[in-house]
Amino acid sequence: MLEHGVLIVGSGLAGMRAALEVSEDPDLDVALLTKVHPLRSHSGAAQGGIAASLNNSNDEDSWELHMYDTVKGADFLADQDAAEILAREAPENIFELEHWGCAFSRLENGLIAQRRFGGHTQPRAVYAADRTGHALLTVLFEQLFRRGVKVYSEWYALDLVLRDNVCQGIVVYDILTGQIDAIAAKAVLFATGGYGRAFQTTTNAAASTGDGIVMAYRAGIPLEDMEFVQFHPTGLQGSGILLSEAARGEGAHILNAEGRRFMEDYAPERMELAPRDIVARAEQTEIDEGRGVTDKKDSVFMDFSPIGEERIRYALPSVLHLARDFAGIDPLQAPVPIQPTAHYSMGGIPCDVDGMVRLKDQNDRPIVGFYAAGECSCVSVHGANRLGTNSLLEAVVFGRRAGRAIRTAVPDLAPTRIEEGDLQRAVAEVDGLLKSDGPERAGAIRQELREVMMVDCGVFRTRPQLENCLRMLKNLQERYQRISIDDKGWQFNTDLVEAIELGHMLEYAEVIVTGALAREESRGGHFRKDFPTRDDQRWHKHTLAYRTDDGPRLAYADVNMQPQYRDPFPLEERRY
Amino acid sequence: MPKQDFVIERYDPVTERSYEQQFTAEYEPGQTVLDCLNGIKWAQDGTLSFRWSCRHAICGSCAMKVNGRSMLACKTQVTDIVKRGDPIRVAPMGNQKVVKDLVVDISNFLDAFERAETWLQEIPDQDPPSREYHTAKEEFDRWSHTATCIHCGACYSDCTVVAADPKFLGPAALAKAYRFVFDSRDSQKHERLEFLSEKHGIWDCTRCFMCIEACPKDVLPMDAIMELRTEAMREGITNNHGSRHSNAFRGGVRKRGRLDEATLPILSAGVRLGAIPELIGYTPGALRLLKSRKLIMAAKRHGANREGRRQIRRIFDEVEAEKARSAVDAEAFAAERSSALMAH
Amino acid sequence: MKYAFWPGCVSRGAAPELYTATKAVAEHIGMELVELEAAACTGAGIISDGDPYLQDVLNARTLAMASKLGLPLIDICSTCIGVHSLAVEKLENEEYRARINERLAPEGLEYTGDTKPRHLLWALFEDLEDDRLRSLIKRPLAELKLGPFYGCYILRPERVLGFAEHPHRRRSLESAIELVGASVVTYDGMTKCCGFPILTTNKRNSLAMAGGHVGEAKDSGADALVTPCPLCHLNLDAQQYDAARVVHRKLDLPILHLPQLIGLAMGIEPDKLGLDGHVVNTKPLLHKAGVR
Repeated sequence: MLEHGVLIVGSGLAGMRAALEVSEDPDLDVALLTKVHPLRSHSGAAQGGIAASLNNSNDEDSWELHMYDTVKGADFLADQDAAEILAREAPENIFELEHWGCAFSRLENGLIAQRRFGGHTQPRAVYAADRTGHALLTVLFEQLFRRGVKVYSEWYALDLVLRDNVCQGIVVYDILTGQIDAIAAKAVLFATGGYGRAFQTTTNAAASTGDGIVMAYRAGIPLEDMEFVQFHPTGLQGSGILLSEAARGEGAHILNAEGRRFMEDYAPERMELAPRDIVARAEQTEIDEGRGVTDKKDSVFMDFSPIGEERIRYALPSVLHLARDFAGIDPLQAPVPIQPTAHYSMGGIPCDVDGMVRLKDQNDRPIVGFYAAGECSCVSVHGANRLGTNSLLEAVVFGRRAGRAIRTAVPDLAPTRIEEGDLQRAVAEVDGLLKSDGPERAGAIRQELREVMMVDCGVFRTRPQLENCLRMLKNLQERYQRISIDDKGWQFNTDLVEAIELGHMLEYAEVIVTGALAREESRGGHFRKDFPTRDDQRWHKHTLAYRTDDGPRLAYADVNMQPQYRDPFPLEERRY
Repeated sequence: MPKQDFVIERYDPVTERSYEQQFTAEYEPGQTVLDCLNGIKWAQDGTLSFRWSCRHAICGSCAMKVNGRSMLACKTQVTDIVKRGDPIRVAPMGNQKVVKDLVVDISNFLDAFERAETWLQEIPDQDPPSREYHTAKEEFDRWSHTATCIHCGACYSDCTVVAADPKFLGPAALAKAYRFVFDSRDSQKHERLEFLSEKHGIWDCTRCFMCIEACPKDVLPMDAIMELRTEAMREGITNNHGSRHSNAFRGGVRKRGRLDEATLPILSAGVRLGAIPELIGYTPGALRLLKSRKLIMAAKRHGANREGRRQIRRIFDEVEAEKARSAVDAEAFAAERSSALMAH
Repeated sequence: MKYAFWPGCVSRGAAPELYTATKAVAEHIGMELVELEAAACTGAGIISDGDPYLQDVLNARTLAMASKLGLPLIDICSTCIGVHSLAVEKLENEEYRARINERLAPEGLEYTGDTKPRHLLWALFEDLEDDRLRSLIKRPLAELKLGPFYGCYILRPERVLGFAEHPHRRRSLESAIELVGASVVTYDGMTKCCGFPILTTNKRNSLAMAGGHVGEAKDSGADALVTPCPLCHLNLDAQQYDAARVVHRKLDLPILHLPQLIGLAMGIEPDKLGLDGHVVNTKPLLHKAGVR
């Protein structure tokens, strides 16, 4: 049995930022646990930027405008107290990262450069070429290294241990040795990332399997707004690999088979720089109506020619490489076929603006000692649709806040304990898989899961599709009980880890579909063809899904409309 | 779908046995070595172990040797490397201990960053500005390419010096150190250059270009190492073999237009010309050298012709007299960098 | 076939057998070599450690000298061709080239970018008719198993070495071994660094590298190595007995310069190729090849 004062699970931006904050107090004994080495975390894949109203490229921006854009982009489902904090605290967070050495791109005058981004009315995306996430991840790791924070690299968290709504620690699996152990901690922060891997076409890394979300769900915590999945409009055809929104920020056009900038039909003012949900739906509509490109007619073109070669090379080097290496197309010579791709998980573990996990029921009970930050959390700042560049920002702003809250809280928390019985479920799961000899292959089940989620729970949804999807999921969950894995060894058993991850995917996919089926309206990333308009009367509220043996039980919570420093932005029709 | 044979070098940590195993994978044009490995793992043999995550060359997990060279499996298209009939050979990265199959222990690689303290070290006792530090765009352009490192270890795996000396800091850590040397927010430039000029540092690089060829990003590690050498010498850090060698070499060329054989390594390895009796006792190798007449030939001074020598000396004088030499050097490096990045 | 010939420092110094063999082969096949007697050392990437600009001026000068003669520049050293090719690339930058030409002007030289240097190894295959080249092989060395050893700078960085236009350059040394009728022995180290550049700074590492490659080639069944680089030759041949001590094994593997190999196969006598000037005895090899 291991023990730490504070344990951070997940080593992306939110996790590392929180760990750094906790480490400010040398008495607190903070450790970071991650299933991939911190430098492999998926935050590094974020490309275009991180938002902050610095006014370096103009002088018209303000935190209030940033907040307004965020709330409107969220289709008014964002909690306004959280959106306010996000926008207000953005600049100081950027400067802090810059002081630590982050490699932000510069203007000629030596200040941090900023560019335009979808849904933002001002050029407020701070960036490091088109590898902003990578630059941030690197600088946080450098600082973590410098401070000597203990890192459990390639350790996989299996269970969250709660007792009477008080967190005790987690059960872990050391991938290298195959040992199962427990780590007791007074405070545990989950920063375990999103859940996009349940979709066939996705920008997400293999690691984005919603592990933390499912651990919380299994421990009795409801999941919030899981039906809101963002489909990014510019994934490479086929693989779904992300081509940064920065391409459009820099001036790329999107064209249909007729060579027309079809966004003028959908968002005449903002055109390609409308928020992602709107552009993705526009693309899908063009494709569905037969105006798609390539032989498969399953994509539209992104045309880089308006940007110019020199600027592409300087500002979009990764996009250039990605198109060449993964689609075999040179954007300097030809347009690149793109399609919507599952990208970001708006939903997750419900928590407050200090990262403390709360049930958000009538009593709004907190789980003592349990925190969440980043993509696995649902604060909620992104509501029904996240704006580009707000995810990196959320990770650092709320990672830092959660770290501070933990630093304050931990000295007053009682010691925790983990008992033998707490390990049982995890031990049974691992043993069961190691002894498995059923006829099913995890690979086949995963493939079917991802296909049905993409087809029936994708950009457009209908009741019959979602019902079919739910039936399929039940079937896959049953078949999952009969899988066997090939690798029966202890050491570095990725076969085993992938099978556990598949179990998580099957569990949260059901929550996504159940929430989507219930929500009979269209808002942000959730679009019901049979209910194509937003219905504030019935649905201006957050979904909460509790785990029961018969599947998710849904409840709902109000949207926070009480920012601290200004009046709330009233609900309005969302036009771009 | 086309089929492709793979020969995969495997390692079983329980039996501590290495062996090769052949698989056949189907692939569609556009698919990568990683896609094939996953196809094999998911459909044929779940025990095959390797790291991967992002699928698009940013997380740095999947570096391995493909047909003998280190690269990212996710970035390597099957159609680009397939030779008619030949299997694609996949092996774990080099210069690191194998854990299982294609998984290696990267701790030695990562230790180098810690040894080189590759994090920003602020000016002590001085608060940072209320907003950002100003960074000239030229400065940013000088080092920003090295910040693209994804720590995949491909350069380290192919580094010919690490193979001979596991303590060598290696291309990635040195390239990262370069970035902090030229980052005006850092306060330790001189101290860093001193550390990097020690044993296992910049002067141990052989300039073999392997790291530049292996790097899947834009880091150009070896070029960074060369620029660090120049900067270290400019900073007056010359009390080391490397800069003495460079200066001696340069002095010889200044004088005769050609490499002065007295500075040739076979002679300068602690042995002076004219100290032949000492040399004879030096090593059996040196004795054989003597017998081969190579030393005598080396001692016979050759050089550029008289006019050539005059012009060469003029050039040395003019270059040394030129003002703002470091700016000119920066221009020289920038010229090389921009061509290299353009080609990348 | 007429070339501006840069022999490199080593062929005029510690490896005179390379110069001898080059001249003999050139004469045999009718290559006219106009030696650039006023040219300077390339700097070998060592002058550039302290002074990259100076090194570029020296190489621009050599390129300009060839250009003034109206002849293509030929090198017989992997390091020379590598450094010359890198200089060509850097000098594509017009501002930088103009700055450097100011240093050349007093001598009446100007580098205009029209000189593409080549190595003898490439020239054999690119400038000679294939039939003629093959017809010159009078004494095939069918008994020999030979390992190529390239030297870094004739392989890397690929972008400056014209591999895109001349893909054969990637395996030109194997082609040369096949040309003379010997069989090619491949081994991991054949494209790696010989260790020479750090011989003075880190002798142990340097010799470990050289010894490792030679040992590996020997284990793969090579009777000898052949190299287009006299600096590699110095580390692999002249240092071989010291390298053997570092890697704790007996090596005794002869190392041939490229023109020695070609010359032998063309029927030129070994003593005209300087084969007696090596540290590692070449006689057993010649015996095996059936020469004399």
